[in-house]
Amino acid sequence: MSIFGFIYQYMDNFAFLILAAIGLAVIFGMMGIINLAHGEFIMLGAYITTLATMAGIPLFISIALSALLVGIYGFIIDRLIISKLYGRTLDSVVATWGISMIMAQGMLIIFGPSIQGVGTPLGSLSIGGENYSVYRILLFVIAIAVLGVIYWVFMHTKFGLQSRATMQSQEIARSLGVNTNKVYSLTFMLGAAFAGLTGGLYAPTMAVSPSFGNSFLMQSFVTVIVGGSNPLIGTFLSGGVLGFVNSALNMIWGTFYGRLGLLIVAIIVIRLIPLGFSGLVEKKLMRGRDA
Amino acid sequence: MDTVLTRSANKVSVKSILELKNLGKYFGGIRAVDGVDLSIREGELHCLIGPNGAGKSTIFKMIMGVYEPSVGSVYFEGKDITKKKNWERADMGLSIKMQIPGVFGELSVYDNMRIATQKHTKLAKMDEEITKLLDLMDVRHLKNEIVNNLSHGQQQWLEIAMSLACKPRLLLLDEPAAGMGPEETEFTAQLVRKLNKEGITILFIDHDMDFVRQIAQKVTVLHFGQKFAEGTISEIESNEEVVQIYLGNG
Repeated sequence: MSIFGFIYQYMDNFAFLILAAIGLAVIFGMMGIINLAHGEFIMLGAYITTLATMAGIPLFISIALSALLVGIYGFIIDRLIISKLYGRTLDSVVATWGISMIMAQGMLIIFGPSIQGVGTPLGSLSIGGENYSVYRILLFVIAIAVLGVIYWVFMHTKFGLQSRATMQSQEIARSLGVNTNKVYSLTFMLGAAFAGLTGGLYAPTMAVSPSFGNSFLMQSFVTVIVGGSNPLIGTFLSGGVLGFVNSALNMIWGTFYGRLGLLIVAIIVIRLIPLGFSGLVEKKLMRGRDA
Repeated sequence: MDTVLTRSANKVSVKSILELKNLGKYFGGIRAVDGVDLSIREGELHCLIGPNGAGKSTIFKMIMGVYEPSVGSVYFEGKDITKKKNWERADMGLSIKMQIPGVFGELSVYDNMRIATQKHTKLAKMDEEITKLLDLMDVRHLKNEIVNNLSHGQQQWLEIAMSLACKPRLLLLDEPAAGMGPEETEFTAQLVRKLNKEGITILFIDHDMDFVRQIAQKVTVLHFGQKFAEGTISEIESNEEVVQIYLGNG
């Protein structure tokens, strides 16, 4: 494999890890809720994009529609179920697990085991005799853009500031007039919208079925665990490192060892830095300020 | 909109800004607060004192909506707010400085102030308002500092500044001078008097009787969750029963 081949592979893995994990990371990092229905939110996004495209809506508008509709779906789920479980991590795990099963089985009943997919758009690029998918390069650009959007939302908007405050202390935020339940609902909606976006983006690259989200689940959880609670710093660093490990092992020994490498890195990180990369960075920053 | 610091000098009104009616909070069989009636008049600088466990902080938490009362009601400006959420009370003009500094330790002083200011000040005026409040607390030079790196006193002042940013009509201060040295305590006493003179009704809790003597216009003594005595500081200090249960050991 050429150098460009490795870079392409790295960009592809990085984008996949970031996009698979970001919705989960936002919900876990800002709300402390482990959303076991994350994969099904991604699956729902893939179905919306596929069905909308088949109905004649242009692909990229269908993808945006996925993000919007899964975001609204997430808001409804939050208001009906998750909002009753704020601060009850284990209960929310059970509830989201139930939601995931209902969604997957519901899709199976409504649409059957699979639906007709849409082809990968934008064609390919030939460099040094090897072909590279332009769409997958675009996914890398979108993954970077998504991180940029998250940075802007959490650092430069009123919602982001309220969200960071609520994450640190719900009680203080409330006493300053912040409606923390609203902040949580919007955060869940944002996380769900990112999952919907990911489903939409990957719908043209994989077979769309009720188990579509399972392909993202392992990578998304490993990325969030290795990254730690800060959705921006954690996901970025984790995606960067895991993407490299995955690409390198993939290139040398193949896909199976690439995936195995992700799990080994996760085990090492949990053992050495239990708070993940973002915990490590925040600790270093605090030490730097104290010095 | 005028800031809280530009209001005209206060006068204690006959009108109640806060009324607690038969307020009680029970934790299992323990009556932390037991049928307290209390009326705070507009413009007043009122202190709650009492031994540890008398129910002072629990009353504050019920006023702010952190705890739901087991019995009784809380009225603010004549409206029953007992069932209101705590952020709704903050929006109505109730603000609190907690006993343990209620600040966001991992954010900068400026970000802390932004959170407090954003709902009550237009974006264009926000920086001006923040600077004014930080100046008042003498912590402007720490604007970009992470709050965990501030001294205890500076964190207390920052929290008061954050409370003021919510433009309160009633400010609750839970031990505003706790853990401060004599100079910091003096600065805090002056500050509380100044805020009251500028129109903010203040209800505070403190154990330091020198501090209470310096600033309180009216004192309510709590004991075992009940109102034990009420009056001016001289009336309270000359009350033999109060001396026996509280001041004598203080």
